[in-house]
Amino acid sequence: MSITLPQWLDPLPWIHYSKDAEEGQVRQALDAAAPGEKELSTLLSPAARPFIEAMAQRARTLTRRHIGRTIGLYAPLYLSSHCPGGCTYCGFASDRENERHSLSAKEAAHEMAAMSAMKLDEVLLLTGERTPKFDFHHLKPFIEMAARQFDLVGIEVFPMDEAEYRELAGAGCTSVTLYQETYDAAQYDRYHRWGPKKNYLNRIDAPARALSGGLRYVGMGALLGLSDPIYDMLALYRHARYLQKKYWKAGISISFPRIQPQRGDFQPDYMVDDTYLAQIIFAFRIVMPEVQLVLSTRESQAFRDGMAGVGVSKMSVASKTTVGGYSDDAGYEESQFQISDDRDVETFCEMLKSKDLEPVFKNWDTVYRDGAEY
Amino acid sequence: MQLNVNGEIHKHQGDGSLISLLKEMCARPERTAVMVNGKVVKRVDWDGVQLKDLDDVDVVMFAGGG
Amino acid sequence: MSQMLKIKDQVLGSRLFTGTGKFSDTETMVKTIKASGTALVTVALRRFHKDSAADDLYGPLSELDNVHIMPNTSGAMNAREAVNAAMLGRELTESPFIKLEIHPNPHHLLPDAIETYEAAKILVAEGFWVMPYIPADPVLAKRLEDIGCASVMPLGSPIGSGQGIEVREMIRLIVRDSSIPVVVDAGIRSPSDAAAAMEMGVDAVLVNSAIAAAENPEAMAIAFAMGVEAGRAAYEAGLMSRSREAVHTSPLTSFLAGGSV
Repeated sequence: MSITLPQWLDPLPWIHYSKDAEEGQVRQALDAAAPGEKELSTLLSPAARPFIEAMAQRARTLTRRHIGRTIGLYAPLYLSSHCPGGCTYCGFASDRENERHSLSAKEAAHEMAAMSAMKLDEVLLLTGERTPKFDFHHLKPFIEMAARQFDLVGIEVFPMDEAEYRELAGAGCTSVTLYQETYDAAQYDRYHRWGPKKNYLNRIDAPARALSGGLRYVGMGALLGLSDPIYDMLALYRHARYLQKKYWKAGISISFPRIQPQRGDFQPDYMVDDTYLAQIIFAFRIVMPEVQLVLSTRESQAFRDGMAGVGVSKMSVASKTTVGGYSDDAGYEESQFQISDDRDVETFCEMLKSKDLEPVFKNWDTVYRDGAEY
Repeated sequence: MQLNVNGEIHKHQGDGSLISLLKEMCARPERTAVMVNGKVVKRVDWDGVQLKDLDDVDVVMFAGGG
Repeated sequence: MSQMLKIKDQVLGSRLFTGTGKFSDTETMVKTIKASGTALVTVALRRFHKDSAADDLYGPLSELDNVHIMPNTSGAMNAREAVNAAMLGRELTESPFIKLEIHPNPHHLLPDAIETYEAAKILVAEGFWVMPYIPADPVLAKRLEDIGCASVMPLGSPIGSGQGIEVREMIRLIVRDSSIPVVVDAGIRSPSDAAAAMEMGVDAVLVNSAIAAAENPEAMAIAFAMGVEAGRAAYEAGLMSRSREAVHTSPLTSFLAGGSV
């Protein structure tokens, strides 16, 4: 199966800047007044690696200027591990012989209460791909429940159509996170062996449908390790810029999940080491100074501490990646992926404060939205 | 017939058609655009327009501007 | 040769737009427009008067080759008046281009964003290619794009003030996020102002006073054409960045010293 990337997404015309980059181009890219694809490609190159400290300095300056000395905090809540998908890299793939479970309303209420007790005010609800065992009509009541106690309710679930997104926005959903996993269409086809997720373009278009449907924020990303990171990161940048131009009220956040080979049985084809992940994040901060850059608890304590405020502006905390993990220590079964930083909220906030960073639990309120019509 | 043309009283001597007014006013009516009683009259519609006493007619032309 | 500018369906051979105001006489105006190489010229409307018939610009302007005439709505105080002006203008040019400008204050002539937006909605529905003259407001620019304007024309500084690009940061944001052409209109005094705007990635500039009021308008038109072309070429070539030396007081990346986990 062959897919032609739409012109607005195709990163190929900029790949060569990365291959050809030398010290001079890297210096120019670091100082560019209006950086774009060329500068991102250059900053992702091997030639930029020795400039990692200069990139960090620039990234921190820009993060402070545009976002401040703050770190937004959120946590994921897994609603269901049922999934018809055949993603080779995922712990919830349908050929894994794990016990599956979807939360009942009562269980979800317990989970949300446990999260609220941790002071969290932003929750990200997660499921697998669409299945009769967990479909739209299962999801919506959980969003309504979450909207009653959290100000920001995000979902990281299956792609939907615009009408469904509109209905969820009305139910109190504020953001949609959907990683393309890889923008390389051939690789995408190989990793997604079966299931609804096999449709590459349907997934590409989903964030636009969400924004058309009235959602305010979209979260984007590619799973580092699946394909050439330069290709994927350039396409991700182009995807984000396209959405920013077309939906100019949209808030964009970008996450940088990566597969760590030593954990789990899936071995990535492309190695992204700590220094390169840091280089990627600094490069994104330099070319997109005002977007939220997100780092999850997949990453180690040391790495998260080092990145906080230096490019990264939003982090998950005290995450459980098992269904039922917050209210029941064991949870129901296997996690989707293993977390690496398991500090509790208080400990994590202490770390932030020691770096002169302010933890932010809430930066938006529904008070106006819920007001009367005049 | 008395008309209000470009904000001033105008004694029209012709047959009361828009075309005759324009010919009375200027040598090259095709270089003007016209509003009657606040409505733009497209050039293709000029032929059929018959004016009434005290109608407001505005006739404009190009002028220098940036 | 720089990339061609296209507004709606129309490819324009020059990124310098000029006006027809403030010239000493029609002959100078025509010579100057020709010298500028422009493909888009704005013109105002006025009430016909017998005494002014000799100054009629219709003949001279219609004889220019490869030049599109874009009437403006100057003199309109609100959306309703601007829509009427546009309708009249289209009768004269038989072209969809309209420069929408509504500036109720006679002193600074700054555009009224609210009336401009209302008029733009109506004119787009009437099939015009609306080119609104606006304050350099990135949100307004996107709102006007959303309703179907052909371009946006943010001001660099007040009309006729010759203060150059006083709102660089706002123009930068408009250019960065716009999917329609951005034309800087008003405030440009010198070819270097025009070049500076073009270097920022602006798609075109509209210059009237700075050319018409020069000692030698024809020579100044040529100078502006070169400034615009140089600025555009520089933008397309990619400017070298300003050096920004980082201060490495406390290294931020020491936590990476161990390499991969």
